[in-house]
Amino acid sequence: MSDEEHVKQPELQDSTISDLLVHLQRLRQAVPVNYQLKAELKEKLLQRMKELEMSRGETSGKSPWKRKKFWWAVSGIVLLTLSAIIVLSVADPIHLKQQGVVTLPADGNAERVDLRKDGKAIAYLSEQHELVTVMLDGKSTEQHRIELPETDGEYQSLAWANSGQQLAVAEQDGAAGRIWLIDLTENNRSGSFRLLLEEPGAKVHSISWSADDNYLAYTKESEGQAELWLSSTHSFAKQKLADGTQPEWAPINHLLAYVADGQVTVIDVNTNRSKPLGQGTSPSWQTAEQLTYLANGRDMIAVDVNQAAEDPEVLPLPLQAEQSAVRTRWSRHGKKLLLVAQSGKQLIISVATR
Amino acid sequence: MWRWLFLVTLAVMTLYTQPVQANEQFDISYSTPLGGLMKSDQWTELNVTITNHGEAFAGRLELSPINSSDRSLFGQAVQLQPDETKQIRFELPVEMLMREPNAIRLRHGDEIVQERRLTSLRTRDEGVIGVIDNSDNAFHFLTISSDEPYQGQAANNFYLQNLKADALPDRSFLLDNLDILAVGNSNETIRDNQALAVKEWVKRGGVLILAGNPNQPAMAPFQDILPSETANRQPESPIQQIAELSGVSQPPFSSVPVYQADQPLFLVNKLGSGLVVRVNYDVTAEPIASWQYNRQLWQQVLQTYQVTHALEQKMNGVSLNYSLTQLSSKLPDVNPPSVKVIIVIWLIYLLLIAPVLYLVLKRIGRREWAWGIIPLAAILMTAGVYLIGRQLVVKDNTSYTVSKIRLLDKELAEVNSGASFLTVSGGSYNVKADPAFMAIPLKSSGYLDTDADGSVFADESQQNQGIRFENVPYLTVKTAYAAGMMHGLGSFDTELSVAGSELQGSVTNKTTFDFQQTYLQLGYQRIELGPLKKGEKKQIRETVQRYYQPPEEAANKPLRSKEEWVAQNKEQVLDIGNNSLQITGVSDSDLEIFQPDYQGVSHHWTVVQQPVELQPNDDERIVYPYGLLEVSVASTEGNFDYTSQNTIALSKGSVTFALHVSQPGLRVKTVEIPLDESPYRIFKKEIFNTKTGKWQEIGRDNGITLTDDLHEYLNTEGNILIRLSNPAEERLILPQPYFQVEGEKTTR
Repeated sequence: MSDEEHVKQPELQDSTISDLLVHLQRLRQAVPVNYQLKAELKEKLLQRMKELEMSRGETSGKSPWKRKKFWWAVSGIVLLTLSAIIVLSVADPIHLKQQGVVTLPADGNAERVDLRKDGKAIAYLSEQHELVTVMLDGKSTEQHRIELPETDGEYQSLAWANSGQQLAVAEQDGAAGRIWLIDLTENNRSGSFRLLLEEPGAKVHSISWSADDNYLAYTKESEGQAELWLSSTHSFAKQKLADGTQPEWAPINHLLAYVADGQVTVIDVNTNRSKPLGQGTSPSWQTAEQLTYLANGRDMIAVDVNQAAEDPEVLPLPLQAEQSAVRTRWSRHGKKLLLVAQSGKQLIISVATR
Repeated sequence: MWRWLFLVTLAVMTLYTQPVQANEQFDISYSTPLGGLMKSDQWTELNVTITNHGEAFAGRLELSPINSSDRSLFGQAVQLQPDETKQIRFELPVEMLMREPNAIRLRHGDEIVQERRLTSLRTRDEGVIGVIDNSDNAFHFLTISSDEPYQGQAANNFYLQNLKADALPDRSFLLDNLDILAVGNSNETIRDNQALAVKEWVKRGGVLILAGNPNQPAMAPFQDILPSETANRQPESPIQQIAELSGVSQPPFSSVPVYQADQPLFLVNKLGSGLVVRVNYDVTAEPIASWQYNRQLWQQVLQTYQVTHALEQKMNGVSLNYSLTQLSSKLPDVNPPSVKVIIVIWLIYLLLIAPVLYLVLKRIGRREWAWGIIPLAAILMTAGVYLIGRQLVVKDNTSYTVSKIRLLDKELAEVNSGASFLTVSGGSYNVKADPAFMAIPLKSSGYLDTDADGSVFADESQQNQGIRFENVPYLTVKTAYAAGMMHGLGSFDTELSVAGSELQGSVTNKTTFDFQQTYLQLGYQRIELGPLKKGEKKQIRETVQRYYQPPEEAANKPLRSKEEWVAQNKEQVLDIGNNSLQITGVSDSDLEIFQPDYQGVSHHWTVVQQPVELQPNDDERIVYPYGLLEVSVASTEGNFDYTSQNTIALSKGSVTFALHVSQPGLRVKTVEIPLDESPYRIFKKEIFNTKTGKWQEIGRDNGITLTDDLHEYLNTEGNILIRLSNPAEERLILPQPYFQVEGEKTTR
């Protein structure tokens, strides 16, 4: 810029400033318009806030109702569940879990099969002098076969020990009745055999292990008389307990149920005091206090041995029309029930639950 | 370059040059008793001798692992004046000494003044004979290896060491490093306290052979226990006795000089659980000493007089009974929180407290406070659980001592004791131990370990000894063990006999204890007698049960609760095995072996046991009922394995059992072996006839009863051999056969 231009600048600058001031004044005059805009905006904002508050109020007004619906629904579900439980437990006390696990000829002894105390396997005596164990895991029925000692006799009844690692098997030939103890290997594929006792001139069957597996109760028949005997599994001690058959040892050591003259009786082996419970067969302990037995081939009677047996509970068995129950055995704590039913010329072995 | 090489070499040499060391101030030497003989499963004693060649010293003598500078197993305050010599001893299990290298250290404050490493320690695992005799060759024939079939460790394999009388310890537990002590003709004197220890050791199961002239100095302290036959009959000639025992009909010498003509060549007395064998001739005298059948003679002597059996019993014993400490670690009234409770508390915090805190903070718009509040809540909850839980776990300091006492006679008892200590707040504390006992700390698990959590201390007089536990965390259990002898505890008076199938008689409690429970154990049969107070007498009349194996073992059942665990461990402490008749009492008496220096509650469980000798019944016969006498497996063939302690699964093979019929002091008249019982009927049964040298078959339904023909079946070891065979493939279970013996007591 030249000097002239510089000299002229102050004059120009003065006019610029004044123009600027004039412009600012004009702008200020225009401000009322912005104030108005501001006021309009504020009014719109207030209105919007009111609308929002109103809509929130509607929502909160709605949520108490939603909460009520929720609790009604929960109560309904609980009631339904309770009803289902009651109905199911009352309507169908015993139902079949696995039907026809094994089928045996009916001319055989129903005591040829037994349920392991944990309910996970059954064992039975085959026609070929074999002990067959069948696993009950629900997915498959795995079987293992063990050849029993060669004898001239017939293997007729068996019982699992409470440990699940031993079985007692009764064998009969013309000269004597014997009880063998079989120690199973862990996978049930093989075993070792011990001759526990030999009763010349007698028949032995119906075996039951004591809760600690230190004793066996068994039936010894000679000259037509059935007697209940106890034998130690680790000494040679044995003694007669009573006249009767079908012994069944309770989960607690001192009580034993058996059948004498068609009457189910419970005896205390320590004191020899006995208590008749009712007409029936095949007693089995569901729990330490609850004993069940078969009444008429169709029903199971459940009795609490600590109370009077005036009004026992009757439990219908899940049998088909042509079937009749010949034997039942509970697993530990009454979780599963071995049901041996005769149907024509067959014995159908099933597992049920309650 | 050469200059640098020279300088470097000089520097390296300087580093490796050993500085001249000043003379060490102390002479430290050590020794162990019995000339260094030690067995790895027994106790020993380390005798340390210190001589001070410098200024007066006051500090501690410690036995410490070499690899640790601040941990010691044992420590004792020591003061030494200039030129003074002191002897200090540490008693400890050999296992503790051998587990890792150790050193004896003198410490002044925190500084180790001097150290001496323990070297040249070794243990022996075979049978050990200690011999005190003028001759170095006495009894060496016992160590010559034999071509005879293996008859067990005790019969065949001995290590022999000649000892000086001085080397004998004055504590019987230390003599357990020997299996046999033989005292022959020696001019050395055995001190009274040493002789007392030897007698105690014999009563506890040791075997003492007294083979010297009764007039010899070394034999003097043992005159009161020297076996002697008082019957008015001349014994057989020595040559006859030697011929009978050795099996050599005509020894190559015509006479054997004996010390006393009216005594037999060998005579054995039971003393407590052990045996005293009197030898009536000089074993070092020729020609018998170097006779080729001398070893055979002695092997037969050891077998015939049950010395081998006594040795095997002794060698199967253990020095530390861990079942005592295991049981003591389950202190009564201490309820550790269950895992479930701990998980629940943790879940409550994680799922309830922490989320609620967060939601509250979110609600009040202070979410950033969570960084501080949630950790603070965790700390407060931890403190709360600790303060409240501590009281729920245990209310007060507590200790539990479990002791097992074996009554040897009216005066003497062997005691082992395990104890556990629990302090609520932790810290450091001392547990004083009875000076008559050897006491050691154990690892918290109750087992021996060199890094045990405490250390043994003793003052100079060694009358105040104990165990110190330092910096113990709160609610932490510490364990200790002690072993020793006690006097004056009394004994049970028993008059028991077997007649027919009954055990009958009486038991009187003449001990110093009131028993809450008492048992008689007859083989596997346990007869409960109930409580028995001091002085109380109980009549017994029980049918003898014919057990052939123990009842179903509780040990095989899964343990679900502390109570089940405690019950099982109590059974292990009771450890009532087979082949014995003994009486056991259980008491809650305090033996005052351990005395912790903190206030608290003490619990005690004391088991007292005593073997019982059967008496003649009304027919003057002693009957050893079924299961009381030992049966061993002599040989096996084919496929077999043990399915339990007393049952064998057998297929295509046979098992030969040796029934130990002969008993000291018993003239056997009848032996009954009930092989007609059912379990044996499925096997082929045979008995060995020693007269014909052949096996005789027994009928399926027949048992064995031997009376007049007993001598035909009894072998030179006093056993009857029975063979049971199963030729079939199937595995048949064979219970160990048992038998009953009836005889007359021989008089001496």
